[in-house]
Amino acid sequence: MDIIKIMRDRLFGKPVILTVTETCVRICQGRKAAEYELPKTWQGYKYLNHAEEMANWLRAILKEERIRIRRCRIVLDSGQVYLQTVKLPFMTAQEQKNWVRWEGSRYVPFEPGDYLAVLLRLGDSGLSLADPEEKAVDMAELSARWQEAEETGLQDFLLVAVPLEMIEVLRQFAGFLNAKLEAVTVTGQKQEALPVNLLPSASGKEVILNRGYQIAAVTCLFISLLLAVQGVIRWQRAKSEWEEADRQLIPFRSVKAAYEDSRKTDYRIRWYQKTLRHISLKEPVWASALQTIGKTLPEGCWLEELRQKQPHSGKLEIKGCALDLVRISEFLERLKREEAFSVIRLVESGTRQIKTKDGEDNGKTVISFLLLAELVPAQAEEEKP
Amino acid sequence: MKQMLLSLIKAEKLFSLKRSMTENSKNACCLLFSVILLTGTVTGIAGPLENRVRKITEQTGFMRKETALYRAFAEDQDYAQKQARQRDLLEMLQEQIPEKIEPEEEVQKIYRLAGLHSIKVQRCKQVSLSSADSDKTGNRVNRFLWEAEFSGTWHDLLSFFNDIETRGPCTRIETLQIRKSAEKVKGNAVSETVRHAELDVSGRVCVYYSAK
Repeated sequence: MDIIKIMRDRLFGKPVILTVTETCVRICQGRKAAEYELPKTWQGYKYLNHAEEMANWLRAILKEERIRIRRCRIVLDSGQVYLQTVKLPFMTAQEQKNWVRWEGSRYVPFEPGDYLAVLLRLGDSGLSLADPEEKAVDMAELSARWQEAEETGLQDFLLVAVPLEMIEVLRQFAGFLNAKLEAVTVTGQKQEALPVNLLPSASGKEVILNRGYQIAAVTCLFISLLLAVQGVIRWQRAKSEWEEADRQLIPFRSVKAAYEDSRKTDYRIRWYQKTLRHISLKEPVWASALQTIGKTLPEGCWLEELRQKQPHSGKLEIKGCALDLVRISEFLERLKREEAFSVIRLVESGTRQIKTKDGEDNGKTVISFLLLAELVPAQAEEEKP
Repeated sequence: MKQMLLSLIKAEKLFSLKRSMTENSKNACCLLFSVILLTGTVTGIAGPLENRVRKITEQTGFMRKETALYRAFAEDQDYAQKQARQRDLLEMLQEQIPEKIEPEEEVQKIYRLAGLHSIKVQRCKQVSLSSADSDKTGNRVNRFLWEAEFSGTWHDLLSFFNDIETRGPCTRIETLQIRKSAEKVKGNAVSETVRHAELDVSGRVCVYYSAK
């Protein structure tokens, strides 16, 4: 718990204790202490009507004194609260609370429900707390005290009451100071702050709600921070990896140009080969085909016409004559054996009279033929080894 | 200046609002600001950083691949030989499909080859050129066309075709037609047709070149 307190003091600064009397205000933070007289108009507890102005005035003083205020405790003098000593039998903390709740209104001069009261036992060893949150009740000690009360009878208790309106004004005052109001207490007879907190204790629901808000806000902040830090770390790591890769690449800068040149050459070669292949597929090379035809033509067989059947195709019509059918068959077989043609077929054949130079029939006949040959597309440069 | 003053007044108003706020409102405001901060961090810092990291990682991967590629390329012992082979091949291909050809020179070449092989050029007329092929990179193949008629013996024609189709720029003959000369229609001997008879050839001579 001490550690948490120290951490809180370190983070938010030590609490500032503001003791407000009828004429002055005393500021105390740790060992630092200063006392200032209130402006005349606010004396006599009139500052409660000017919470904002009072806060502004005090802020200027705090700035001058170089006191950082984030948490504060306000100590009121007896003139601002109702104090009454009552004699009561010994009671436990819960019993004291119950008494204040049910019996307190008989003593307090405020309307029931408009004030806040606490009961303090005026013991030999000082004051005991009525608020169980401030100090845990020791059962053994309680039993001892009960015995003592049985023997001595009644005990003195101090009833402290303050209007709720004043508490609200003090809260606003702390708000204008930009500080969290931790406690409101009262000065005792010896001008010491009584160990009592006049602020109404928050309900369980409020506490849970506040905690929920705080946890959610802190979680959001934490996630934001985590995401930002993680992002920066990942970016730094990626950047260092990039720099390392770049460093490794630097020696190869000169190779890059040669490599790109080589790739460009490869690309151009591929383009030329593709183009040539495309041309070869569309347009046949006649020289080799004609050579094959001339080579395979048998004796007693002659050609009259060679004609490309369609443009952009390797189809060739071969028209000619032969002395007999056997020679045509031989020519056909020879052509089929050659690799220059993929398809060879006899399309037409018939007999024809041979005419002399004078244009007269000499009584002899020959057999005319028409072959259709399809050339094998020429090999492209790409397919060459 | 006026804007600054207005901002200051707004800030002052906000502070005064904060002072008069209840504890619950303050907590709610804190939560709201935290959520805004979280959203801002995600959209303004974490998101852009993530995108940047992804880009840098991609670049790094690419650079590593490049390094490996260049290393392998640099360590290739046969690189010089391969390069020389590729260059020779490219030169040879460029000769086949040159980037530019002069039609006059090509006509002269046809006449020269014809003369060389005792072929008579009876007609050679240039017709409009056309695009033959193109690819996605914008490389195109164009061609010059000549309608031509020749005459000569079978043997001479073969050697003429062989020369014209295999030497220099890629040349092809379209719509080829070979028939016996009209003057010698009446001669029907086999040997004549194949070897000595005068033949008429008609067709279109195409010379290809690349156009960028």
